[in-house]
Amino acid sequence: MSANSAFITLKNVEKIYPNGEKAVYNFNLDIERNEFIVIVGPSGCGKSTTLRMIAGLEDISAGEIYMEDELLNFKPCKDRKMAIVFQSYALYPQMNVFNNIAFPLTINKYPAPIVNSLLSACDEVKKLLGETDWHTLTAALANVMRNKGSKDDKEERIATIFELSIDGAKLLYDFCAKSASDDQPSEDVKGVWLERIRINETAELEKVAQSGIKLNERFCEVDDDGYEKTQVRKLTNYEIKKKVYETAEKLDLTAYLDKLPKELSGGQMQRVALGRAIIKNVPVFLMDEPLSNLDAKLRLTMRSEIVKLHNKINATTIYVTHDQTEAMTMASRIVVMSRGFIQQIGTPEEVYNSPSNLFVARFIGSPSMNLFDMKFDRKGMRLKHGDVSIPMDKKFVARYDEFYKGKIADFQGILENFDAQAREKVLKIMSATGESLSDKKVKKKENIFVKIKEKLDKKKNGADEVPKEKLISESKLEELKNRLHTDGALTVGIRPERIRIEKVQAGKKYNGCFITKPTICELLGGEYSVHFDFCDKDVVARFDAKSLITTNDDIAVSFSLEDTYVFDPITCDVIKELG
Amino acid sequence: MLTRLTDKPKKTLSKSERTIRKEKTVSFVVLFIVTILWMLPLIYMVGTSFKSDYDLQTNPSGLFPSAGQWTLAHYKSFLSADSDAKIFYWLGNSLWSTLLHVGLTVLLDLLTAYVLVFLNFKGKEKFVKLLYLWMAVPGVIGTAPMFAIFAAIRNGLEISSDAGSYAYIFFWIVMPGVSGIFNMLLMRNFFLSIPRDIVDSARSDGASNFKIFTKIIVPLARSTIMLIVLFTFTGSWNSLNWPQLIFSGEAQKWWTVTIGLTKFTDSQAAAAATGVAMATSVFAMLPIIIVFLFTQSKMIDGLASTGIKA
Repeated sequence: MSANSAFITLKNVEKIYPNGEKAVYNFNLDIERNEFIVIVGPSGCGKSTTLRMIAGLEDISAGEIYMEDELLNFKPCKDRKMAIVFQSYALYPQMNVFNNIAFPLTINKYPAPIVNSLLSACDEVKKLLGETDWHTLTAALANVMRNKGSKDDKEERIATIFELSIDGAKLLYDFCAKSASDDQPSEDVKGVWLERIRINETAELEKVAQSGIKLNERFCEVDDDGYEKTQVRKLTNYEIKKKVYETAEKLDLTAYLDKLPKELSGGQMQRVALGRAIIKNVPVFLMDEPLSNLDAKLRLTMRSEIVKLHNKINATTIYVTHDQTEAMTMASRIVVMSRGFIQQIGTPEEVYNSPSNLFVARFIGSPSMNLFDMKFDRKGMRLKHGDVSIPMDKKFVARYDEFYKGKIADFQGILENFDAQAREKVLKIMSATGESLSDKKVKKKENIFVKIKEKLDKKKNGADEVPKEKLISESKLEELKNRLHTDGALTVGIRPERIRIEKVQAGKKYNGCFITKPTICELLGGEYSVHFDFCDKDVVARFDAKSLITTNDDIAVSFSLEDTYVFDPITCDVIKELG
Repeated sequence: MLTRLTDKPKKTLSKSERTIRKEKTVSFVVLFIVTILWMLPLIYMVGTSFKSDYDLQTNPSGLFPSAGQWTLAHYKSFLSADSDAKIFYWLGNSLWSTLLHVGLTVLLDLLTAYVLVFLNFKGKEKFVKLLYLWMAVPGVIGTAPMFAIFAAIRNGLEISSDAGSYAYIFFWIVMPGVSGIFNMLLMRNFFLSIPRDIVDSARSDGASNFKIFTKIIVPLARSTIMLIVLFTFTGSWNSLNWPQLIFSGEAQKWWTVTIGLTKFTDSQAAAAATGVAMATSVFAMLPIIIVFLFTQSKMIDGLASTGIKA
């Protein structure tokens, strides 16, 4: 495999379900480290399936997924170094929050250096005795020893107070216990302790020397070349506890650690799910609509929290959502999907300002882009609809001709050799236009008789049947050919914020403006969303709420040609972008 | 509850509240009557077991012994060492075989359901259909062929020692019922209701199938396990036909409780033994009541803890 520079690469990934339904077509994407990729699309467009394929929860029907140049296709889900957050939170209902967060740690083994625990503990305690003031140390220790709790609890408390390892804390605890049970308390407790440490150390060092194990300065076992040896082991309870508390603190969950999931609110559950993901300390986060079950306000705060978290832990995130606002606000790059096809990949600005086709233009932006149909008078170089007419320049005409010539060539190519690939091309165009193959959406009842009948019918018809995709592309080609000599309808689009509205004042002249009355004026706080009819379509524009506007006012509407998009309604591709 | 409803101060109720109340009252009354009808034979059994022989003759229809006629004689008669009723042997046999049966059933049901729901293999759907078909076959149909196989293998193996025969017979007491389809499908349906995301999430957390099974699924299935324990315990404890068939001609010590009881209830038993029959029945029912009390509370507990949005 040639070296890919990207962190995660998806190459021609496809998903075909066992029932023959194709959910994802030809998915290609390179993801860089620390990117926040949002896959967005209407429900059923294959975005979750793609995510599940990356996660390893779904088989990959075709294509390859690489992570750091390593093929992931056949790697089991648990070895993929990824964490998933689900829409349903997927918390384990019978475990409390602590156990939920700790679950990944309790079932996995992690590599760790082999440390001689006694020597490192002695060293730690020696340092502690040397550095800390004797009185404060003993006072703190006495405080811990006096409190209730099991031996383990006390040791853990000592470890947290003095920032020791659990072995060091155990040693210190033993010292305390011994001193307390001494009949004749020694004057110089510190001296006794240091002496004990010295005895322990020399004995252990001798043992180590006899067994021929080499240790480095951190008391880790090393091999002959001086590298630390590692072993794969389970984390100790103390290590798990420490990590869970750290994570819980990050997410503000410390107060809920012993609650069951059913006692939490949606936002808290979501945070627990996030906690379970980040405690795994993996480079890739996969999120499957994590915010859709939350209420609107919480969604907003969680949105920024997730982005903050992503930046804080330097993760690479792939985030699936159907909400274009989430995509716009969170993503470093957006992937827009429809019916299993990628429609466009780009930064939020790119996707918003230069949508590749009508589907993306419609889907991204809220309120969405205003679209209206206009006839293009090629000779007069004008876009017309009723009274409205917009003059276009020569450049546009040239682009128009070029566009349709290109499209006709494309379709001729498709029809010339109508194979599976050509079929997929047609399907991709249809995924953007929103047309569907079958006229009737009602699914036929499937029983054995219908199946037999279908089989018989097929035998009769045999190879004569023409695929529907072919018929569609033929009709489309006809339409496209007509465009070059007759006037055809085009779809013109403009973003609401690019439309200029003025309240009509008596006596003032409005040249080149379209005068109308608004149908609805929605106050959003800082601005109005003003709806009015234009070219038989409902059009939305924004209006600063500094001055009042009602449906009784006349408004003068204008926009500049630079701000419009022009789309071809047959293939839904863009003919003219901004500028 | 009825009186409390009428005692309440009159207040106008909405239509829906009135219907709910009406429905509650009706269902309460119906349930109450059904419960009484079901309880009557039980109460009669317990009461009769305390009647003296004289009272049994003079007052056979009374639910309880007449005054001064309470006695523990029937209990004493079969509990005493010299009686020919080997009730403790029977109880022991029933208990260990039933517990083994219940344990194996639950284990098999859990494993089968896990495989059928959470693992993918070729022909899974067909296998489930086969199970449904299998359930449609009444178990009694298998009795004769099963006995033929039982006898044939026994002859083939030439089991002659007592210990060997005992083990062999109880193998046949325990095993056939273990593969009950109904419980398997019950467990499967419960597993289907567990959100798929939970298992996916555990899988991505690094859990193997064994870990998912033991740490996630089985704890969640507690309520269904309790239900199956209750079903299979009563079923196995009360089973009569099959044990009677394969215990015929065997030593009395090897019997299970249900077969032992027939000794008192069949036509050859003297009328005077009615009291003993009732007393042994009461005694034999105790384990089931204990299991019911235990599983019933846990069952509700389990149902409550799984009713969670997750």
